[in-house]
Amino acid sequence: MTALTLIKGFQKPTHDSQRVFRQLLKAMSEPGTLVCVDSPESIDSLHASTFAVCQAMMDQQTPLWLSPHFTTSNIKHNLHFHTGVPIVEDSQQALFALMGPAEIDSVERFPHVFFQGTDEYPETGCTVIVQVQSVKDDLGEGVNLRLTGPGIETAQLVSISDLSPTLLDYLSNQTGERNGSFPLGLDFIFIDQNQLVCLPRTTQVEVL
Amino acid sequence: MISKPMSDTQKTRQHWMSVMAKSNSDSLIKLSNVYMDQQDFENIRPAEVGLTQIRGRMGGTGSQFNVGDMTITRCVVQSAKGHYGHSYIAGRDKNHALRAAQLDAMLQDPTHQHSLMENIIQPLAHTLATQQAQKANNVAQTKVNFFTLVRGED
Repeated sequence: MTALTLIKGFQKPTHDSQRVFRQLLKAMSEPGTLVCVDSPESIDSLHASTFAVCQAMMDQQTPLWLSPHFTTSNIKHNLHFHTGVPIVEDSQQALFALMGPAEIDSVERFPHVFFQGTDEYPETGCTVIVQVQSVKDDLGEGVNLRLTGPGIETAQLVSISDLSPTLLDYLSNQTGERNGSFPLGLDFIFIDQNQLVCLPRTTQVEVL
Repeated sequence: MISKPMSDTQKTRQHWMSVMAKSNSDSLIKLSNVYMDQQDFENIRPAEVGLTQIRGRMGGTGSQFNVGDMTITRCVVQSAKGHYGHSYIAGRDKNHALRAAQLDAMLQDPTHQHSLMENIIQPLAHTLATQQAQKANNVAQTKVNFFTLVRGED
């Protein structure tokens, strides 16, 4: 058996996870707003920022699905060690999914591969965490999006690097699926090395 | 449940972890202070207090039931040489948990193991054994034997 590496988690678990939770709450309620999150160390392909979100949000009752890019024994070991999160093979059972931007194209039947909630409990839909190269709250070289909807006064502009066409079609409601299934649906967190932006299912997305 | 038999290394480690967890926090810290100079540790999981559920079996062999909850403190550190030290102790003494984790990491390092075993673990184990024997003695003095009288019907 090769020894697995354990990385440092939050150094003040209570305060650190509360701070990250507060930042996520802000980002989720004001879509398009960038917030910073941080944790002491990263592991394999998992950024420290993403690990911070995982530590703040996940526990024994929030099954997590990992895309092939993140399915390494080190990542699984550390997530399980620090949060106790159960990692599931079946994406339908997951409350959180963690994936790279390009992997959405290779996932079959997106977005139905993830659980979107039920009419009684729409909030049980999956939250998809997409780890990308960069997010900016301005127009940039990545994919530029114009966001409107609840939590946004007029419109928010964000630029997210390398989003796949499948995901863009879904987010901008090209197929009519995203708005058609509302209030069921998926919520997204796009996260780079140190900051993140959220796209909850209420946000209307226009690709510029 | 059939579990694999433990290796000798595991047994020894289980022994020192158990001794450190059961010992008095002050004596553990006092005995080990001299070894802590110039030791560098990273907090993988800072000492944190939590609950664990205690389960038991009636008479040691019956079916499992929940006895109740117990406060424990756990801690994980990594030494500069890369050893991971774990500790789980009863109660909410974070310094006890931290020191036990640090010593667990150092005890895995062959350069320290011998002197630490001799100067910390063995004295503590000795104290524990003495306390245990004393308690057993005190309890034994109050032992009551019950006899069932034969009613003599035959």
